[in-house]
Amino acid sequence: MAFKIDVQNLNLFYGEKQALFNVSLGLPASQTTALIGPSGCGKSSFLRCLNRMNDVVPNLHLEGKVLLDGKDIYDPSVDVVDLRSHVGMVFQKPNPFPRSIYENVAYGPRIHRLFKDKSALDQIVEKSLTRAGLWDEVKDRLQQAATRLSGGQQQRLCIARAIAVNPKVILMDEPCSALDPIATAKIEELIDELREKFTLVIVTHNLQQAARISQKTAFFHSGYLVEAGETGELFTTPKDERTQGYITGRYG
Amino acid sequence: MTSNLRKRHRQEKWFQRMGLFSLCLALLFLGIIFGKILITGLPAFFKTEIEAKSAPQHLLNPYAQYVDQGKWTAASDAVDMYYKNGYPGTLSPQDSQSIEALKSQNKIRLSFNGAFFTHSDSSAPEMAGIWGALLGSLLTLLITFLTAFPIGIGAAIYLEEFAPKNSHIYWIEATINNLAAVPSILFGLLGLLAFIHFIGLPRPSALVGGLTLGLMSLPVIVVTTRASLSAVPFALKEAALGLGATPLQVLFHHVIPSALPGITTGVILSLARALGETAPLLMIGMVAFIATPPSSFLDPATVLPVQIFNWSRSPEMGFVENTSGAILVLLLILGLLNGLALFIRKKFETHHGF
Amino acid sequence: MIQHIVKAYDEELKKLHDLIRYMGELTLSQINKAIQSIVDRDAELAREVISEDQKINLLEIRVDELATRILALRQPVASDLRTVIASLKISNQVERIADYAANIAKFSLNLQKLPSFEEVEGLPILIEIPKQMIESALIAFEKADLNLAIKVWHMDSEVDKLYKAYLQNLFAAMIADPKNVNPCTQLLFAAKNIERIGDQSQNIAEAVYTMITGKPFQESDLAKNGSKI
Repeated sequence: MAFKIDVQNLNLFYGEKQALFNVSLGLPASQTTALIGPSGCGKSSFLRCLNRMNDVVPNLHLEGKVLLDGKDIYDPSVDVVDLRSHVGMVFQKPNPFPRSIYENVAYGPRIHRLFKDKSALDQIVEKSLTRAGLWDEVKDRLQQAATRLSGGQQQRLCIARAIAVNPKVILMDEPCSALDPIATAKIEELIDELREKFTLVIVTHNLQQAARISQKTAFFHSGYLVEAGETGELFTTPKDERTQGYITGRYG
Repeated sequence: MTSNLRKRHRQEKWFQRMGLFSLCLALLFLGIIFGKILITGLPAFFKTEIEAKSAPQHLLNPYAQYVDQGKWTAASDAVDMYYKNGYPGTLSPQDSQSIEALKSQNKIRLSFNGAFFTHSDSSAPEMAGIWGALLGSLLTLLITFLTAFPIGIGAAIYLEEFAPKNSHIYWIEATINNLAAVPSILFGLLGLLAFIHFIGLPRPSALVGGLTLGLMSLPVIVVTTRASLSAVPFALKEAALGLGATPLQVLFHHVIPSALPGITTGVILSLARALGETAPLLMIGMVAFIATPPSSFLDPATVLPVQIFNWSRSPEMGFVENTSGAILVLLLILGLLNGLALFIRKKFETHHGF
Repeated sequence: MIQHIVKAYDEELKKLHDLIRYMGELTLSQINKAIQSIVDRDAELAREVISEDQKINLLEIRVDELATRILALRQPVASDLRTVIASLKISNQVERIADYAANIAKFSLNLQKLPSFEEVEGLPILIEIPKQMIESALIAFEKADLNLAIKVWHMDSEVDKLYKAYLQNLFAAMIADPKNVNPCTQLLFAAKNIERIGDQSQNIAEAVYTMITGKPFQESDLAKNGSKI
C-alpha cells in the first residue's frame, strides 16, 4: 500500500532520554490514523515529529526517516516552513489568534502568499470555513473576534485555518479533549469528511473516539510502537497482550 | 465538627478584618500626607501683588528696583507670608501697618501665580518657578526613553524568544533581575564614572541625566517586558508555527501585539519612576542652582524632584510653599502617567479565549 | 488475566460467568432428572423437570439484560467484548438444551402411559457424552480454554455414532414386534433430543473458540489447531 507518510526506524531522544524506540509506521493516504496509548507513551512526540514541531525543543536528537511522499522531511534541503504548509496541525485546546474570524483563516494563505488578489483570498476563506462546517454559522460575522466563538466553533475554526493552506496531511493532537459531546461529534463528523481530501493523523485518549473515526490505529507504549493495524481488528482482536490490557482498561 | 467549623469561620472573619484594618491605616496615612501637601502647596499657586507705585521699595520683590514689572508687582517674600498667613516674620511693625493701609486701599491683592509655571529657579522664592526644572525633566526623560526603550525591549525579546538556554544566558538573566533591585544611587555612581569621567560629557546636562536614568530603567524595562512576553500563551505561538510562520513572523505578528499593552505599561511605569528619581542625579551634579531653562540636551539642567530637594533645603519661608507646590505638580504628572498606563492596559488588552 | 482498573467492571463480568455457570448446572440436573424419570417411570420427577424449565428461561433473560447493560455502560472491546458476545450466544444455547431436557421429560410422561420397555436402558448411556460436552464447554468458556473447547467440538461425532447405533436398536425392536412401535417412537424422539443436545454443546464450543481466537469458527482452521494439540 502507498503510504502518504512512511516513518522508518524512528528513534527520538530528548537529551539523554530516549522518547521513541525504533518506530516504523506507515500512514495510508486518505485515511485517518489514530495514535493511542497511555500518557507519556510517545504518541504526541511521534505526532510532532511528522511536521517537525519538535524542532524548537532544545537537545532534541532524531534518527531514522520520516518520508512524506517518499521524501525525507528531515533532509537538510527541506525547509521547515514549506513542510508545515504541507503538514498542518490542530492542537488540543482551540487556539485561534486574537483577531477576527476572517483573519484567522486568511493568516496561513497570507504568509505563504497563496492568492492573487483580495477576492481570491475571500474565496479561500469561504471554502475553508465551508469545508470545516463553520461557514453558515459565521458568514454574517466574519469580522467578529474569533475568541468570542464557542469552544467547538473555535476548534472548527482552527481546522479551517489549517486547511486554508491546502495541506496534504493534518495532524490533530487530542482535538476534542476540551469539548462537550455535541461539539466532539461535529468534529468527528468533520474528520470523517476531511478524510477524502487529506490524510489525517489524530492523537486521542478517547478510545471510543479512535474506534469511531479512524481506519488505522497504532498503540504506543513507553516509547515503543506496540501494535498497529486496521482499527476494527485492533479493537476486537488485538495481537499484543499490552494492547489488549490497555484498550480493555486492564492497564496496570 | 460544628465547633471546628465555627472556629474556622471565625478565623476567616478575623483575618478579613485585619486586612481591612491595614488598608484603612494605609489610607489614613496617605490622606494625612496628601492633606498636608495640599494645604501647604496650594498657596504656592497664588501670590501677593502690590500696586508698585504706592508701596515702599523694600516691600516689593528684590528685582523690582532694577526692572519695571508693571502696575501690579509681586510683593516680597515676607509681605507674601504676612498677607497670606498673618505671620509677621522679619517685617517691622511699621511695615505691617503700611500693609494694612494698602489693604484698606485695595492696593494689595492675591492673584494666580503664573510665574510659578513660567519662571525658573531663583534665590527669591516669590520669583522662583518650576519651568526650568520641568523642561529639564522633559529633556532628561526623552533621553531616558530613547536609550532604555529600544535597548530594553531588544534585550528582553532576545532573552525571552531567541537566547539559547545555557549557563551564560542564565547568568545574564540573574544579573538583570538583580540590577532591577539595585539602589538607584549606584546607577548615579555608574553614570558619573561612565559618562562624565570616561566620555567627558558636560556635567549637569539633561544628556548625562537621561543616560544615567536610562541605565537605571533598563533592567526594569527588561524584566517587565519579559514578563509580558512570557505571558503570551505558548499555544498562540504553536498555532502560528504550525501554520508555517517563521519565528520572526510569530514574533511580530502574534507575540509582540499580544504583549504590547504589558510592555507599554511597563515602560510608562519605569519612566514614571525615572521622572521621580533624585538620588542618581545628585551623584552626577544635577543638584546645581540653575536659573535659566536648558535650551539643548548639553545645557546645564535640573529636574523637578531635584528642584524640590533644593527648595526644601532653603531657609526662606516662601520656599516651603514652593516645595509643596512643586510636589503637587510632580504628583499630578506621575498620576497622569500611571493613569495612561492603566488606560492602555485596559484598552488594548487582548482576550485569548484560552 | 489482569484485573480491570474499574473493579465494578470485573464484578459485572464475573456475574455474567456466574449466571451462565448456574444455568449450566441447572440444565445438567434437568437432563439427569429427565432421563431418571424415564428409567424410574417417575411422573412426579418428569413434571418437576417441565415446570423447572421456566427458571432457566428466566436466567437467559437475566444474562441478556446484564450483557446489554455491560455493552451500554462499559463499551467493552477486545477480549471483554468477545466474552460478552459469547455469553449471549452461550446462554441462548444452554436455554435450548434445557428445552430439550423438558422435551425429554414430556416423552417420559408419554412413555409412562405405556407398558415398561427395556430399550430405555440405552438412554442413560447415550446421554453420558452430551453431559460431558456441556460441562466441558462451559468450563472452556469460563477458563477461556481453547484446547478444551476443541476437544468438546470433536466429541460430537462420538454422540452421532452412538445415536445411530441406538436408532438401529430401536428399529430392530420395532421390526421384531409391532407392539414396540409406540414406545420406540417416544424413545426415538427422546434420542433425537439428546443428539440435539450434543449439537448445541458443539455450538457452545464454537462460540468459545470465537471468543478466544477472535476469528469466526471454521472447521478447516480447527484441523490446523487440532494438529497442534
